[in-house]
Amino acid sequence: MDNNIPNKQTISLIARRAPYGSDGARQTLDIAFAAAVFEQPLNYIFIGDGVFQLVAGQNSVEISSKPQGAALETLELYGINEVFVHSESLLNRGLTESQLVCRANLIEDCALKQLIAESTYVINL
Amino acid sequence: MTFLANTPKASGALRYTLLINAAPQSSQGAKTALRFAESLLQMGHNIERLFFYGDGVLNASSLSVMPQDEINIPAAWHALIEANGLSSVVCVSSAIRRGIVDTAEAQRHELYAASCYTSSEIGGLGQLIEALSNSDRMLSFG
Repeated sequence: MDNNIPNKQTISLIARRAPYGSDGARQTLDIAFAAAVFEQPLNYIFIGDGVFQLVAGQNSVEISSKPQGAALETLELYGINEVFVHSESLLNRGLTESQLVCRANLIEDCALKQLIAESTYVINL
Repeated sequence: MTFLANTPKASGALRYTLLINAAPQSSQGAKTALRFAESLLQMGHNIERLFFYGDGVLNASSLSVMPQDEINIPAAWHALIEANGLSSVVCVSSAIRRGIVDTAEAQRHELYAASCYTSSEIGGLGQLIEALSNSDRMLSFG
């Protein structure tokens, strides 16, 4: 596998959509898992309505969807530890860190800008 | 279509991976991606891989029929891929959900038709990650 993947380059995934209503959230998660399998350094950034993906206690059975939060709980098992939540997005939506399914680093505008600038690739779905 | 033929010096040529998430009919993204890909090649750059994801997999449908005065985007992708020997991958999990299957997938799932242009292969997200590692630039559309 390492022969095919010569360079370790940082990918930043920006999750900006609400968990249901479009498949952007799941698509982003699938890329995260694939990057993890290939041991690519990854930043998983939740911003805007994307922070709703991390809210604990989601019950999406009634809308015939798989719960997004349950999948995100497993990020750590896949070695995805660089999880960032845009703090203002959280605040604006009346959410707090304690309501999230996994441990995340709260990040401000400035640090976020720097994180993105330092990434080799940015995927924004 | 016309292009600005600003062919860069060989040393300035870059390798691009294009992540196409836009469907051919419902948004402009797929058309923009197609024109961008054509321009890259015209200007002497290299395309490491086209990766079709989400609704973007519909760009690989060989069963689209367009009115005569409208461009058939999937057919145009097919022609571009064939003419330039490009690597084009359609994400399997996005594709089979949307009825984009090659003969192997059609047999596996006991479907009566294959719908994916043979110029694209049905593959996994690992091929996107792999392509990124070999690219100077990645652009996503849609």
